[in-house]
Amino acid sequence: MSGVGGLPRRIIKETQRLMAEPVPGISAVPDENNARYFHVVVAGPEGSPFEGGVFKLELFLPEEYPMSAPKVRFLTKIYHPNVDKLGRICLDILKDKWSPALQIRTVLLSIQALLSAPNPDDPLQNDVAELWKVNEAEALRNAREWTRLYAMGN
Amino acid sequence: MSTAAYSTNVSDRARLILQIHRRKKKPGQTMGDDGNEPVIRLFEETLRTGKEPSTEDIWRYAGALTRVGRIPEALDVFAYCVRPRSNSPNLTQSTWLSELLEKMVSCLNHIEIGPRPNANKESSPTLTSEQESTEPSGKKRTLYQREREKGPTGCCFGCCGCGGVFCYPVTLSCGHTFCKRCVRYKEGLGYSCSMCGQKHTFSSQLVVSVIIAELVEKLWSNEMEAAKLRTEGNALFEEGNCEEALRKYDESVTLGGAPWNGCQPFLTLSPDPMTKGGTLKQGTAYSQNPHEFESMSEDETPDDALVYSNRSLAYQRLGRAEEALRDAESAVTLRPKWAKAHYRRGAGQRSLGRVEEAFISFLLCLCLTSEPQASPIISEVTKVLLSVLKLCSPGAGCKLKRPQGPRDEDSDPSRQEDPSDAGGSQQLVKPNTRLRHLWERCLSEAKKLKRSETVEFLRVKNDVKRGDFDCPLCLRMYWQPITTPCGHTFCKSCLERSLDHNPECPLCKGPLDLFLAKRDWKVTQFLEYAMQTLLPEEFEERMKIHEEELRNATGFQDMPIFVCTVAFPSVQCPLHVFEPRYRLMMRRAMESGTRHFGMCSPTSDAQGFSGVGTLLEIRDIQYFPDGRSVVDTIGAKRFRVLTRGTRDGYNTATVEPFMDMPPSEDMLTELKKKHDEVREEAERWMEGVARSTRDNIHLHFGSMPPVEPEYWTLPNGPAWVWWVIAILPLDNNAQLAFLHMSGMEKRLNALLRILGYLGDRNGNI
Repeated sequence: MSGVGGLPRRIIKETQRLMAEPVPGISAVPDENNARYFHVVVAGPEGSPFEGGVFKLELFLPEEYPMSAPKVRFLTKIYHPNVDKLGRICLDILKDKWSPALQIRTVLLSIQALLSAPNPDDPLQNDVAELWKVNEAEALRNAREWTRLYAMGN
Repeated sequence: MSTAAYSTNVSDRARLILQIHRRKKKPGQTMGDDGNEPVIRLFEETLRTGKEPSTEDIWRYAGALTRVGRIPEALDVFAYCVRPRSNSPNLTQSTWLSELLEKMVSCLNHIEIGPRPNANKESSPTLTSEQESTEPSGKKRTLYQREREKGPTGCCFGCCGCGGVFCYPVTLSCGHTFCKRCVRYKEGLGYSCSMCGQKHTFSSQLVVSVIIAELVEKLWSNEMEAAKLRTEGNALFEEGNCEEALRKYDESVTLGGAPWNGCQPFLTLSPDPMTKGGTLKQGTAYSQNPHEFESMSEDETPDDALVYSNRSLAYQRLGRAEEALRDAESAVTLRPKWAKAHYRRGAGQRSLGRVEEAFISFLLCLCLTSEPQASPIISEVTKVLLSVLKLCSPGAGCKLKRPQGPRDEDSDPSRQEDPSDAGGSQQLVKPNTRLRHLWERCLSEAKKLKRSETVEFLRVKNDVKRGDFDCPLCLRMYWQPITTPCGHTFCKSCLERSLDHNPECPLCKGPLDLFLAKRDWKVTQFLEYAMQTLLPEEFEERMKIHEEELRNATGFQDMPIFVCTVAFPSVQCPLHVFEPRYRLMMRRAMESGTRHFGMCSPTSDAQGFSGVGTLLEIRDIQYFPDGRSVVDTIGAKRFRVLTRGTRDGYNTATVEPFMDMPPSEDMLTELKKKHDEVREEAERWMEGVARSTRDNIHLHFGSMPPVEPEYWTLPNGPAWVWWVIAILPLDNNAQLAFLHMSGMEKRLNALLRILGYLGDRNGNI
């Protein structure tokens, strides 16, 4: 059982496990040409303004993974205080709180949780966060609108 | 010369002989016959003169017999010494007895069991100094030490302290795991591991090893419950509530599995013709089948010896000696090599007045006890020995026999009966049959003990899965599991790699900077043993994978490349390693034993690093507490890069050797001339360099290497050329250009040009 093209066994194991026991509401499929690049789809969690939406993300495992965090980015536009225009995510475990004991699965679960519980106190997209704090109702409306516009029927 | 004077004289001479020999004794030499044989001879001479020797002389005589290893005869004489109406032994005399005891223990520890375990003929009851020296010197191991390799009680699945099932397992940095309460330490004093002796100091609370606790719960839930009851019993016992404690112990025994009733007493004493009554008869309640324990069915849980030992003590305290002894016997059967069990049995037997049996038990206990722990027991057992000697001593009227004439003509018919005496000196005290019988029994019990095997009392249910031993970092079965002070376990290499990036526990984020600074991590023995025994195939496979990985990570085929600077053959190159990827590279180079890597200089093109580099050999690594290191390397051969790759963050390359083209014969004279000219120029240039600069150069690069004989045949030419290139103030590209040159002449010409230029500049300044 030698590594595919020098791919660390851990990545192979994680991929196998993601395929065998997928996380509900999340799918992550490795790219045909690059086993370190994953096509991710996260369903908007129930009870959140993102409910009903299907959000595409890309996840890339850098050379030093699992010693450094995977790089994850939203491809689908999303109205969220912790996601910027380019889809970059503000999540501590993807930055200084990364630990090699975390996995692709746990990262995606954290992102799903972030959709359920936006954190406007640690914003990446300042205008969105501001509105979220000042007028949450309007912010939620916007989020639902964006979800309908960009994350549905695609 | 008066008789009294002669007697004193003998005594003094004996003392003198002993003193001289003691002084001559080399360290490590065992108590042999040095000086003791003369003492024995002198004593016998005294008797031959027809005078009664002093009591002190007889004691010393017995002591000398002890020291030469003639234990049976020593026993005879000691028994004579303590005969009725003699004075009770003084301090010196008690010391002789302690020495006898130690000699007996040493004799039993070094007993040969021979190839056939069923051979019941004892070879030689005495231990001669020759026998002792046949043991490989310096590698003498007692029964106890042999056992220590497994654990104090022969049970590898249990706590390293109590031997029982773990109760809140904690793993110390020496890799040994204990129940939390078994690590008894005082603030500031620390704790010495009972397995390896390593001293531990704890700056914070001991934390339970998560993975071990999970395994214990999964594998031995029943035993854990039984151990809990036993612990409650112990607490009650310590409060003095023996009755209640007994109740808890009973519950524990019942829970520990089927009630233990198939117990084969370890000590089976043959009826002794000399003892009156049937005190040595074997208990009829016990099964005669010695294999009963081993043939127990799989789902039956064997009992825990601890609870029997504890209950035995409780019975003892309540004065129920019969029951105390029965439980002690059970403990001995369960763990034949557990000193405490033998001690409890001895205590039980003594309470029942079975002094001789008690002595054997205590003696076996001493055989299994390590040095410092043994000393308080020795004085106690010496007392038992004294009572045994008194019990067996000849009557008050017993007299010493007189040796008659030369040794070889002997009319005493008893001589033929005792083969141990053959070749030895004549017997002055009649052989004490009862004591000799006792000693024979000690020998046979020790042999039996040596042959006995402790059966793992912690049976493992067969539902262990491979996933139970998965490292949270590599998601594979552990390889060299290391447990952190915060109780989390990782493969050694996984943990090291993680700490390269961040000195925190990958699981709980607890600080591990102190742990990292200590760098003396040891494999968690319990886990290693558990994997090895429970999943042997998987373990073997994992080991192969590890070896293969290490080979692949360091091979010449796919050489790790350190991209940093230009290094030259035979020139030293100290490196400060701080980047995580290079920490990993250095560790792999050291672990695999290759101790080398390639050094290339960075380039601004897409390739990333130069096409020619130098192999660096690691001479030494010094670590900073935070994991950075200073690596002392020296350049070896040059190589050319064929293909480039990466592994775990660092660069790799397939390479081929790169060396000078050998000079043609007709060019050789010219080349040598050129070489000498450039060397001279270089030396001149060095002389022109400011003193402080020169000192600096010597400090970093050493002095200029001398010219090698036949330097023109070397694959990299003379070393001094590289040395000069390294110290000259050249930029990276110029240095690299030198490395690329595949001919010595070209290199010399280039060097000469630069030296000329630098010389001119020096001159201008």
